[in-house]
Amino acid sequence: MCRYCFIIPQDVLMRFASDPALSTPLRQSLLHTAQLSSHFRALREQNTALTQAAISLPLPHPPIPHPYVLPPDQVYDCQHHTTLPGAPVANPGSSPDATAKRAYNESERVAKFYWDIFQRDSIDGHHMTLISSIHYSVSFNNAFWNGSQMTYGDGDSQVFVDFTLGDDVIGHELTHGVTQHSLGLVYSGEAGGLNESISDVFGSMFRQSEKNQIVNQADWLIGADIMGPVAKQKGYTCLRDMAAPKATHALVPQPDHYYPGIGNLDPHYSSGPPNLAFHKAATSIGGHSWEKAGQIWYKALTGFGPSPNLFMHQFANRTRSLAQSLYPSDPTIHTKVDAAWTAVGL
Amino acid sequence: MGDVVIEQLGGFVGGGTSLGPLRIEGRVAWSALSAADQARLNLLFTERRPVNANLRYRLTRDGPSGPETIEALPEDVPRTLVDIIKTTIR
Repeated sequence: MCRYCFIIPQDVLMRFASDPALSTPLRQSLLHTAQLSSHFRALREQNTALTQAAISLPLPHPPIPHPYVLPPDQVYDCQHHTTLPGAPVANPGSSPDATAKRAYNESERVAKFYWDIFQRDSIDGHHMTLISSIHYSVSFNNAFWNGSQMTYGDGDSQVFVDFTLGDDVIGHELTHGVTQHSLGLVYSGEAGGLNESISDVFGSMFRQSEKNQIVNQADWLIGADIMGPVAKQKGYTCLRDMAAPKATHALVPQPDHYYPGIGNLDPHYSSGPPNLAFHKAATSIGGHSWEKAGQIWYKALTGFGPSPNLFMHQFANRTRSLAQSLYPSDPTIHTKVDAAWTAVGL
Repeated sequence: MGDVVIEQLGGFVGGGTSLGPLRIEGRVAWSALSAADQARLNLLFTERRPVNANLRYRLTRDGPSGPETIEALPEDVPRTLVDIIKTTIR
């Protein structure tokens, strides 16, 4: 019998299901709910395990077509419920629902960014369908990657506005998928901080590429386009500032220097030092952030297989080595990457 | 059993810690929850499964031995709890 049928200990399940204080329909409902929840959890865990296995095994994949064709891109409307993915939106690219249209078009542009800049075929490198769910819950102040798809809230129109309004939001969330299908970082400890930083780094690069900005034209702000009137009124211009993590205009002020124990922070805080390191490396190198610094970070993310609990110093050292191996005729690249990490304590 | 506190963690926004001014959280009296929601939460607090997810919720309640805290996946948390969450800037 499948071991996942017993994820919930049998005695716990039966204790609640046989509690005489609960009504019969409730006990039955609880039993069914518990069984369904355990299967959903098992599915999510199995999805993660399958993803990791697929990365590690030398599985054959169909050749990438030339000329390249963008991956399928689907948008679903949660209609303010929380069941995913929701109702499919027909022709989202031309939808009268501006949220649907943005989710579709920007996801496509992120996929194009990954192909044009890094020759990556969608999230998994193998033409994975892009799935976005919009209008999640009511006034939901967040966006997230759930292991299989992106999900966007509408915001409460006070602190935050519609999360599809931020192109860095869409780039950030899709990049969690890229990380899942490459380095496989977890969402805790130093690895969690790296996970969040990588999403901010590539989300920011995508945003800069949309505007064709070189490094000293970029604002390096994360979430600037989703700040609502209440946040702005209080002087907050963004969620995070990659150039100045401790800045008081950021709703999520971060440390700007590594210290032992930083992995105990929420990953959105511990991502401060690696965010600043990328900013320093990219601005020191100059040009467009994706041309050299971005290539180094991308190779550090995708070139070594899964390392779910990677430490920050290990990632830093990878980028140092890659700066040398990718740009052997320009030793200043290594010098600048090294200086960037050293400046943040790594 | 006193109140249940729910905090939204992770996602694009992050938050849910004592650092910074942003709070995405809610509080409800245990007695105000339906029997089904109480049973659901009892199951979650009993299982205490580790959570590794981009978006998750932190739940805290007053247990028989003091405050108990767990993290849970979005699909595991009763909708009534999620609906009480408010976002504030301190």
